[in-house]
Amino acid sequence: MPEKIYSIHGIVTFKIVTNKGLLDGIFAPLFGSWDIELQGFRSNSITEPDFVVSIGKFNPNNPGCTILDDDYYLKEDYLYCRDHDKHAKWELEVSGFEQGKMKVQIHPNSLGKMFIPELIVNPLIWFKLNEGGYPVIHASAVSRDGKAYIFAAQGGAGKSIIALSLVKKGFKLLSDHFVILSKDEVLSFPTPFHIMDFNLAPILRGNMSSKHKVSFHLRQLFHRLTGKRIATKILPRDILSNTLLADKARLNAVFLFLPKEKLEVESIGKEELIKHLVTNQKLEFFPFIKYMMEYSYLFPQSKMATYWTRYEENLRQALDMVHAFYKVEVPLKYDAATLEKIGRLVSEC
Amino acid sequence: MKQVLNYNIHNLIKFRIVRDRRWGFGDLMNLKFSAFQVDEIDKPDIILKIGKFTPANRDCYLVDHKYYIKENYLYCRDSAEGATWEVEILGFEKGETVINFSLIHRPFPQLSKAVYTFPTLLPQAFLFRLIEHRLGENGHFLAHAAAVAKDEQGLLFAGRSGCFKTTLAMEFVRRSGYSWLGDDRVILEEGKILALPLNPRLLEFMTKHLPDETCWTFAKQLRFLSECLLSKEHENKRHKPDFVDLKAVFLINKSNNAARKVNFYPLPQSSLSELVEGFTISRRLEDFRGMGFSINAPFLHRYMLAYSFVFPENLLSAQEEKIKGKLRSVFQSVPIFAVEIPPKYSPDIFDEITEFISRNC
Repeated sequence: MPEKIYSIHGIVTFKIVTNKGLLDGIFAPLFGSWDIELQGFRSNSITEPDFVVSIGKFNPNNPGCTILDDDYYLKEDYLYCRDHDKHAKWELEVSGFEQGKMKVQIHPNSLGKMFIPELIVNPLIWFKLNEGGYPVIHASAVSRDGKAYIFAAQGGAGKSIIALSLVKKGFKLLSDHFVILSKDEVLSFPTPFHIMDFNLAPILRGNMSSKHKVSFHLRQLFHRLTGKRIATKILPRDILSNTLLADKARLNAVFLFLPKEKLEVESIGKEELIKHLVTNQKLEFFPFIKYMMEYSYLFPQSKMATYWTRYEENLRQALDMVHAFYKVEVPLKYDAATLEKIGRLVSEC
Repeated sequence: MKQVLNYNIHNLIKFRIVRDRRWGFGDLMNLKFSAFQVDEIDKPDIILKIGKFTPANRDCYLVDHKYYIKENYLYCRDSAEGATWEVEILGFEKGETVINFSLIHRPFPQLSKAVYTFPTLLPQAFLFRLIEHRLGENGHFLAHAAAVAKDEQGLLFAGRSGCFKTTLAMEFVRRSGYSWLGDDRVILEEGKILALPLNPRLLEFMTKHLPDETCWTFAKQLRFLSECLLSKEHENKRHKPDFVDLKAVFLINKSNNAARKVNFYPLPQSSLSELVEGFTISRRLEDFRGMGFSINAPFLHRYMLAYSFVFPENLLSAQEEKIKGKLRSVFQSVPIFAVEIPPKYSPDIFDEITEFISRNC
């Protein structure tokens, strides 16, 4: 079976074992290769991986389990469940998340496989990173002269647009969607851009290869026909030159974006920011947060149950030496003048 | 033509449902709170209006392209399982609450998707979530549990969905002459259980005709529907008593261990904090399951999180801590037993539980 190794800055490494799915080729033109979300982490590392994900049919080892909600089979350090999101379905077995080696088995349907990296593997990576003291936040980030500026927000607030407009002004892009924090540094989390009509920044439009352009326009057509948006996913390294990318920097300032009407900036305290960041991350944790809660119901003292407390603690430590935190109300649609103002705000930090 | 329905739950909370009268038998069977219907109420705490409305979503924060949020307010257009709806909640965390709900598109009718098909069902899940919050603010805990009583002494059976809470309540009623206080939710306060019989008509039918809650067949469903149609005026017997002493708590979990028998474990008072933690987690897990409306989609959970993202200091998320303290006092000095039961229901389970109760309580 083909195996792929992925490494996140050498902090967490994992291996995915899978067969080529029958319908992979059919879904690929629509969603991109099934592991496009993870391709930025591909590595040749030979160190023992922190966890192994096997995708394909498996026999659950679930005798002696407590059954919750008829779908969740739980025992100490073990979770098995069946779940679905619209037409994507999967069976999941995770063991060794409390101690020892984490082992993950997933049996998705063909459509489900396309969502496994985002819905299951990403949360597992965050879980492992957090365990090592590296909290991940839902944000974009740029850097200049080794100093990092983070833009945390929910979808639709313009994380990508702002980061990319700053790249045009001489900043480097650290991350587009998620950022890893630690005591000393901000680390990139190189997931692909999710490009749609409303967030197609000029710098991306200019650098798109003809192949990317074709797939982008096909998805636009798909959107007109069905009303459903599918993002064109392109890895940063495939569209921006290496000189525009950075993979780590020292944290300098955190901006929290809330779309409302007009640009308004307010300096906020660390504790307030942490509260926003925790919910911001929880909103990205679906459906995994549900599995965590089911497990916590039976084992309220477990690592899994205390995950968010440790996450908060890790955030507090990572933000310890920083004092520039801003809540920024932004307009629903960006114009050049607003981007200019935000650019000035960041530069002055 | 509008229909106005008033409800009063033990004078703890008063609410009103306003909707179009056009649902035929759907009207009769799909109102969860019918046991608490009253003719008049003054100053309802919550009003649920079902039907088209114009949202007042100006000056809002927009979260994730779809949640319109301002202080004490949430509006969004959402969809699941082929249904699309619009919901607006004014007075989201405090003050008088108004929920506006309109089902814009409903899926092809299927019994398994009933909650998305009848425009009155889904909004009751939102209503119930807010009722839970209001009760919590006044120091009452809405427990996800069944309860039965005899001689003013109440037994509480808590557990996640599918652990035969309803079946046990049915069995206690028909085989041991208990009266039921609730099969899915009851209200707890210090040393007491307050009845919360939901869907009384459905439970009555099940007690009469079903060996256990998993035994629904299509024929039985048809029979229930026809009974609802034929006797339009269902007499809402108030199940007395509705206020009893809490005598014992049973935490039920299904287990597929090899022995396939019922096991009892008395829980020492020292495990009280774990118990309280479990109850609070169970309460939040219900945001994924639509408060007993068999919804299996996380939208309630997302509404709560989206609101907390904009306003991290809000009464809804602050309630958790308050509730934990409350629960501690509810369970103090009440005997608590964990019960492990096999995955499939058989009448022996009930026999063993009653035997255990006669020996230990």
